[in-house]
Amino acid sequence: MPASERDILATELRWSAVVAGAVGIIFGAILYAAVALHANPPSNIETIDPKTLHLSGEFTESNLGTRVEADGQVTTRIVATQFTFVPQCVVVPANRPVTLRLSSPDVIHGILVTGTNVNTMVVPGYVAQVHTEFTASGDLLMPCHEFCGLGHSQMWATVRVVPPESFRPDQDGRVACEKP
Amino acid sequence: MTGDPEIEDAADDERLARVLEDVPKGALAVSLAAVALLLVGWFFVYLAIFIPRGTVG
Repeated sequence: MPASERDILATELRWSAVVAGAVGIIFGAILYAAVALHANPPSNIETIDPKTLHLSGEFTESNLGTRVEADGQVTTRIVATQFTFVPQCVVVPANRPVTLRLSSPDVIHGILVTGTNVNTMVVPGYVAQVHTEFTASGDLLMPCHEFCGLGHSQMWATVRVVPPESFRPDQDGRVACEKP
Repeated sequence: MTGDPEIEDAADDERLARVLEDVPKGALAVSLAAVALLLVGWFFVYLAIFIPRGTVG
């Protein structure tokens, strides 16, 4: 005997419950990551004048790279410009909160750090900011991931994650990659 | 195959009725397998890649 309308309706209702359960489980996992683990998309909104980026303020050349602030916070400042990152290598400590701050004087760039969830656009006129904690030591590749012109494929930097005991700031709190 | 269209139609109706009895079970099995695969794939990426890559914000 073919399934009756009532049977079909009951099956569809059961199936709706299964799908709602699957969606609920995924939604719960996303909420857990966002609320308990603080894994959120970077949402910093902070404007800066791209025309004077290199002349004054925190993105002048002498202030770029990694610095341990007075309160102990590790901040790394990088300028993304056609077609390089300044500096091209930054040092950060493992297992310690790090704030990456980036800006662009020319066109839209983007960065990701391989093997981590760090991923943001770098839009001229704004400061892109990402808080993270690197868990493993080593050199990580940080390429530009937003096509920014003919030299885009040559635009990449190195994030050198070092063990906390090897992270030694100078008297100004700065840490830089050793010159090759 | 009797050659008589009416008799053959009746036989087809019976076979159709027998097949229809199993259709919901088969559709459910395929749907469950598809959704289960989707969940397994999603949680593999979530637990093996996304979470170990650390916090960001």
